[in-house]
Amino acid sequence: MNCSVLEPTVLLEAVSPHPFEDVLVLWALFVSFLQRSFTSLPGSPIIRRYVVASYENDPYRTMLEIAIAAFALRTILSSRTRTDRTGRNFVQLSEKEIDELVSDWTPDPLVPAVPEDSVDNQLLASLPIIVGPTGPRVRLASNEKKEVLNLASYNFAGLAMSERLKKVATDTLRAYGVGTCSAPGFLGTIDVHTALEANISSFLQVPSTILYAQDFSAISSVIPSFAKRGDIIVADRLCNFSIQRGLQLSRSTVKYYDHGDMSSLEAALSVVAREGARKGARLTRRFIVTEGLFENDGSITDLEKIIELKRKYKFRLILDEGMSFGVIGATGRGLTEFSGVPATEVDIIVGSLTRGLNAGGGFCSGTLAVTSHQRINSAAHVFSASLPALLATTASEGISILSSSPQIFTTLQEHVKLARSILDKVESKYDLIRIPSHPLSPLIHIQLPTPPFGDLKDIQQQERLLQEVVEECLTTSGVMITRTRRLPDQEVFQPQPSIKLALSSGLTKKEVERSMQGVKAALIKVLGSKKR
Amino acid sequence: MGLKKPTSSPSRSPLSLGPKSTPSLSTLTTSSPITAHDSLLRLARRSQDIPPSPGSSIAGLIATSGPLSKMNLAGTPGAHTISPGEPNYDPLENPVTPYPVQTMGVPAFRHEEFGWCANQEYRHTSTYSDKSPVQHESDEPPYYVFLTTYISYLLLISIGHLRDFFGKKFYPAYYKDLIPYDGYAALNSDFDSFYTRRLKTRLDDCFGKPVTGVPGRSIVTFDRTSDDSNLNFKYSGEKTRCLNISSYNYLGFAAATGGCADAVEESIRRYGVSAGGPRLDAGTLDLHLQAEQLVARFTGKEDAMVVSMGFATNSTTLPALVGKGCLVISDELNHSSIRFGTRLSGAAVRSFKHNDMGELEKLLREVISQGQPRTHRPWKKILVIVEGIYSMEGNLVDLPMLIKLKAKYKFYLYVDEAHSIGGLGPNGRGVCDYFGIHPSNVDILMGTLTKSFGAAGGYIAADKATIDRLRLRSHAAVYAESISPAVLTQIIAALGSIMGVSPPLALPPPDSPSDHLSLSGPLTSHPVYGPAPATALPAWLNLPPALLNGTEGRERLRRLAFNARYLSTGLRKMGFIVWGHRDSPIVPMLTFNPAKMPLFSRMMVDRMGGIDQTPIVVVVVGYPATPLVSSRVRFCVSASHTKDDIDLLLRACDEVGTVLDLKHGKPEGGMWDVERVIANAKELVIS
Repeated sequence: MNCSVLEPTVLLEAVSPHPFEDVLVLWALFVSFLQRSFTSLPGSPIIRRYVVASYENDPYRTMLEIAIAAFALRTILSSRTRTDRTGRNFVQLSEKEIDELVSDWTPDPLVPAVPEDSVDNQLLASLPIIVGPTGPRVRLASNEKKEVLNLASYNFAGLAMSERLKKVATDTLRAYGVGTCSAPGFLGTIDVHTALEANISSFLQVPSTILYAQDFSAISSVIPSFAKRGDIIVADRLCNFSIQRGLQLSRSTVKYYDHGDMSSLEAALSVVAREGARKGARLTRRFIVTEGLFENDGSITDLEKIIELKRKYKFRLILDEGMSFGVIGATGRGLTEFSGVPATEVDIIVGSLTRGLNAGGGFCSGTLAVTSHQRINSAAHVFSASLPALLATTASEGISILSSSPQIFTTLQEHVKLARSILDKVESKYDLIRIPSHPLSPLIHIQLPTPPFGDLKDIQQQERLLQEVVEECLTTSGVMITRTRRLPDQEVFQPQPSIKLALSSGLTKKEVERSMQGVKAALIKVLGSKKR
Repeated sequence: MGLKKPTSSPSRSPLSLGPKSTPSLSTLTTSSPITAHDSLLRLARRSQDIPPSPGSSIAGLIATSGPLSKMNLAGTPGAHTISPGEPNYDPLENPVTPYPVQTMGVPAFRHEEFGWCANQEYRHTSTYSDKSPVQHESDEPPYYVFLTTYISYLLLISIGHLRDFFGKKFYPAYYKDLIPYDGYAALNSDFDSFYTRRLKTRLDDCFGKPVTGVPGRSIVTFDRTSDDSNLNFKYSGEKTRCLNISSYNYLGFAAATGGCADAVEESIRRYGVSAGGPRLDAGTLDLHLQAEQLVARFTGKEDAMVVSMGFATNSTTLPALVGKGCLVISDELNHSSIRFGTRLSGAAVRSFKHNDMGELEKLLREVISQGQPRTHRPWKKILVIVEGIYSMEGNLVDLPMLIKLKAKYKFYLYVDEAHSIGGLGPNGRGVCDYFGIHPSNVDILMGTLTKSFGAAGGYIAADKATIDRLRLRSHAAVYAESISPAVLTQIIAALGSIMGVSPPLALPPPDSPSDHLSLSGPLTSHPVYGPAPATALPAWLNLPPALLNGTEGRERLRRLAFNARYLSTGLRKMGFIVWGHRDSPIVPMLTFNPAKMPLFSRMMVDRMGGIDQTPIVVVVVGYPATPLVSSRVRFCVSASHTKDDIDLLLRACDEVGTVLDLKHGKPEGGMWDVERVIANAKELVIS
């Protein structure tokens, strides 16, 4: 049956009549040999009948199969390194021409050269360097003698330098060493990891949890492990940088809704649902991706509404609690506790153990199906060494501290109230700033009002001005705050420049008051003069 | 299969494993937070059993100190080379060869963590010799091995599909999450997860074994069984101490005792464990800068930056280096993190056949002459990314050739030294040190701190302008957590002790004239790899003399070099098919047939037959981490292993490998039996 298939090829190859005849004879011999050996096989008539019958019914099948075979052959034979040399766009060049092109080519420098007095260099020079431990009160390398108040580091629950954590860390060190020297899939799963996973699960009341060795890498790896090409993601426009990278890696269709705007979200969801309901449309995975406490402006998501919408339109919710876990809620359980929604309502929760708990790493919680999928499919989990044991045990101890000391969060909330009462005045009375953050958020962002006063349309100008406030605050009042650092050329949407304050329950009431007065004075001094 | 673990193993010593009441994994699902404090304290107390430094009166010490009196020490009554079967044969706890405590003093480390091996014969210097090629020719097994491998997969896949076909009818609950339900698409479809569910699950008992304690020379694993073909595991609470030939503990810095651990303890007292946020906010401590200065000095580059996760070092740095209009040329076997970072960067990517410099040159000629696709505009820059040692193959990068190509084709070179830093070169400084190439020839040296240095995270070393840019532009610096001070201290102490701190300077051991601190090689001879200046270390850091003068660091490098070469050469000589370079601490041994992977792993733990029952934990790797037909066992040797450990491993491989028909190699000069290999270890290493 193969004769009809291969003969045309033979015909093409034949050039003169003589070899053509020889080839035909050889071919005939070969075919008869094949036939003989085929018929001698037991059961061959059945196969023959089956093949003949199936090709009789469908002549296109023969063509299709030849095409597939040819394609497979081409794929196997083509080199892995070379691309389409015969492509329309490929320019055939002689070796000499290539040599000339090679010697002509001058690449850009690896990094662009920057002048001595560039913004970059100024920025590098102005970076605060903490001498000794971090905490609510620190000493900076610029002036080691003077202690300054620290509102720039994440220490919401005041666990940095906790003696209990230090004790646990030391004990762990003496039993486990520092590094784990292995990925979780090999020998990197230590009992303290399993214990921490169980502790997070029971803290959040969810079925299971998986650990990541770094908080930033968690969500940017979680999203692409579930969402693939063709899937649909509806995300908040102000989502943090790490989420943006996850969305980029997923190659899914991403639709954005206006920041915190539930009607905009519903509109986006209904469009997707309508498209999905079209006849013949494939059922794709659909996700809503948002943050609990927004890293970019300190606002808090309306979880109840999102849960309602996600159920209505049959989306899954990926919630980044990186900024909210250990930060908001009566005992620091994050947005779900804050909103009074059971954490099991959220399909995938991603959180940080660095910010709220002052340990290290990140985690992802959900059903067993969610976490076990990541154990083999999430790149940052599979291909990375596991979390050092002493960071895992300190995180466990941190959780136990949080769940047994609700006063941490009452203190923190008192601080927030106090700070906002002072800052809100600067906003309403002087109209110098805008605070987009939620009134209960311990992370407070301060932006310039929109539209900005003066000639501050340019983002870089705004950043420079805010940096002046930061420096004024440190030099005059001894309060370290920080401008929100971003990579402007890599953010998808440009968040507005801001100063961020991270309150800590490790500060005393007096210190909060003093630092806020300092921030206020600096804002009025720097921005006020600019406004005038 | 059916290889059940014997209920009681003679190697399981109650001394090391603690009472059975210690918290185990089976109790970890309770709702109250678990601190694992009890077991921690017990283990912590143990570490103080052995005095940390050589005592003044060793004889008195041995007599009074309980655990030490049980050790096989030269000069004590009954000291001899213990052979398997003897009552005190316990190679993981007790040195097989008597340890000369009279001359060497009591080691600072527990034997379980870092083996006691005083014999200076078993040392080697890791350096490139142009007598042997960078890329070894690898043996091919007979055709029937390939044939049976393909048949195995065919069988496994058919059975898997059959099980799915009937499973969907009879056990719909199992498929609930795998098929669409209630208007939701499956989170992970049955088709996508087929390989994981139906093939990988079969050998899941060989992966992700829960362990406890230090991942040193030996490691304690939790015993587990499964009644439902590895879907769920049951933990009996029993633990087994195994010889650990699987952790990336190349230089043996994973330790709970010794100078580095003492330094870390002091650091926790001073700094706590948190650095409090991204580097650019206020997450930069003085320790970060000190660690970075030390890394720069260590790698021989101008400046360096540390990142809190090794994976993220690649994935967050590459987008800051290349972007649209740039081309990344990547070895086809590069690590996932490199691919992750390249995809984020938006640069175009081409890959070349693994380690094939000819293919690379062809590709370079093509891409430079053709320019960017469609527009034909020249590329802004071309970044070639390779790894120092490939983690699955044990191959070294052909750096000398690459440097020649770089001079001609003007690309930038990025070398990922995740596995080679610390593990290669006479000074442990990675591939440049090994090949004797000045590090300034490589634009960017990246590496991890997780592996050789027993810490966590990674680093990027380059010239100052590049690092300055990365400090401001790398995703990690702007958005990710900075490294914990405890981890930084481990990095500083480990690096400092390999380099030695000046002053005082390291003195070479008397019997190793070939050893040298400065670099000498075929291309350059710059003493770039000098000691660490004392000013680069924190003032409060107190390192013991053996770490300060670099003798211990050198000892570790030389032990690793010996072990790597011995194991790799020994296995080859015994007829196994081993890939990779002989100096690589990663030694992949091919099993081909998929079913032999789990069997090998289980048999090494269970140790069928033989007098010696010491369990050995190995890592097996198969598809998709390797090509379908080349499933393998991957050994990672460490400086903490003694020659006795490698002997033990070779004997075990011989036992198991014979049963599993793994000896398909054709070594030059004929196959040797295992005892001959062991007797000629030194010659094999030098050869």
